[in-house]
Amino acid sequence: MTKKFFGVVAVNKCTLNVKEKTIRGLIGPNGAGKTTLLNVINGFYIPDEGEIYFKNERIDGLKPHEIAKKGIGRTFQVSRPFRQMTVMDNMIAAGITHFEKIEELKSKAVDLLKLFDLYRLRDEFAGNLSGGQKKLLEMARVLTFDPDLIMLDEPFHGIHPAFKAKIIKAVRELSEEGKTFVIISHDIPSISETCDKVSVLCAGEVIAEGTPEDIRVDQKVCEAYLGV
Amino acid sequence: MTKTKWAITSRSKLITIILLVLLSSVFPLFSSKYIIHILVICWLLAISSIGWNICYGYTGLLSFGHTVFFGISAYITLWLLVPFQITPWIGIFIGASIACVLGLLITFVTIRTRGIYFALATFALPQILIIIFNTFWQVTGGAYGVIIPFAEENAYLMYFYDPVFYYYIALAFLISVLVLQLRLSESKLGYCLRAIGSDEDAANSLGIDPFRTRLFGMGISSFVTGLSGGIFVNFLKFIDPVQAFGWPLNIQMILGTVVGGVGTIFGPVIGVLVVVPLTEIMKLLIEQHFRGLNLVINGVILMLFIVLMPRGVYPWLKKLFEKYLGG
Repeated sequence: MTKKFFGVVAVNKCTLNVKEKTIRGLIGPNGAGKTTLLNVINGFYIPDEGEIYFKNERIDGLKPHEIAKKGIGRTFQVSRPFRQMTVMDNMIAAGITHFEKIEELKSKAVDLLKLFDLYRLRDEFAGNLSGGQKKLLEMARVLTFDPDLIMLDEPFHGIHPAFKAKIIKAVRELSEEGKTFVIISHDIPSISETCDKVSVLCAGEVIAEGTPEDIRVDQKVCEAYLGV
Repeated sequence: MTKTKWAITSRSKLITIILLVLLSSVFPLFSSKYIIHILVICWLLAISSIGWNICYGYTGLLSFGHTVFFGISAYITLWLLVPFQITPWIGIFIGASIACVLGLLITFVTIRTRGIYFALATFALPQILIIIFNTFWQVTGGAYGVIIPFAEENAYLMYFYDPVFYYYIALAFLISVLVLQLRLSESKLGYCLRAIGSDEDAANSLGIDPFRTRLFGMGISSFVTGLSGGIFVNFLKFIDPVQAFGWPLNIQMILGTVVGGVGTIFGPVIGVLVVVPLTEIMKLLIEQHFRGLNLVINGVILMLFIVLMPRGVYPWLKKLFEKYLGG
């Protein structure tokens, strides 16, 4: 899959195969095209070349809300809660188009808020939360509609280690329950701790794939990050 | 010692509406015709402001063209009434429905614009309509306007001399619209509207269709604003293009919501009850002595409201209420 912006090739013939029920890390230097790749999968951009398949169904060209309905959810590099809405309302809004009965949705929302230790803040406006709490809220929010594939963009960035640990724990538990994750991060230790497999992007191309241990010693990866 | 927290739930909002209805219902018994006239203007402006609030406060679409819906509905109601004697009790809803269709059309055309670009796109519409209505004066009455010419009171034609009848009509519509807004805020559509208004891309990624949501939101918003226009023309018994589409009404509609509290249920009503009486008081006290100074002072006072209560009077009152009655 390729994506260009006015001559700048952000993603260049990138091929990524993610198996179900796995946790894939996606790393690479700044400007490698990681978030662009996520945005294309999520439907915010249409690829210039190539195809995207999810569970054997082609999804490139669909709009983001249509892709969400297929079972793909994502978080953003900079947290984007609905600031003027309470934490609980954020959760309800996330699931409102996926549930028939509001009571079921509220029950799910409560469970998720408790899982992420946000239940006590349910009546707080999302805009008043700390950075780490916003990250947790975004993750809880995306899980409301029970997607099969969850793409996390920099979930560990700028947050307290305690929050990081909560996210890693939640990702592992959900993966054991059958969810698939793609995690973009510059936090290599967290990626190593969490992911089964890691893909390395550089200049829009996948330059290496393997276990975290394999990636750590890969020559191409060292060159991409260190320029040596 | 612990205090019981008074949560502002939807039930308590409904109780508040009921209490306001009871209070407002007996108010005319103790008021002059002038005060009642001012309150009719307040109720009608509050309905328009609620319409605008649904557009901006919920959907996040900053519209400078909402008088289009007000004015179109007013003229439609008038054109059905005067030559065809179609009762305004139906005409108001026909006018509001046509305003709704217009709202859907405008949204469809401007759907790719956001933020300030949507505001600019809607900015021109009222001015265009004023020019059109002034130009085709044979049909619209032009700048001279159109008068409702009936001689005798007639309930079927909603033609009364005593403003108290319009007071209760406007109040009934206002209460209905408030209940609609309350139901909307807790409905599926309401959550979608608020999510889109807060962050469209995030909402989109969660499964909310921004296009459909905006269409529905704008449809309701323009319908509600249209209701106000239809009642207004029957109350004043006159309409002209500037009154229908002009900036003074546009500003009052927006100001009422901003001063009262954008995105809140009661904000537009409270805001209008600040803006309109303030304007009248300044006019009475100052205009006769220093012409124009009343507008300056009016503007300064409204700016002070916005600076001291940036989220609006209603959230400030709510905070005060919760502080002294909550825990």
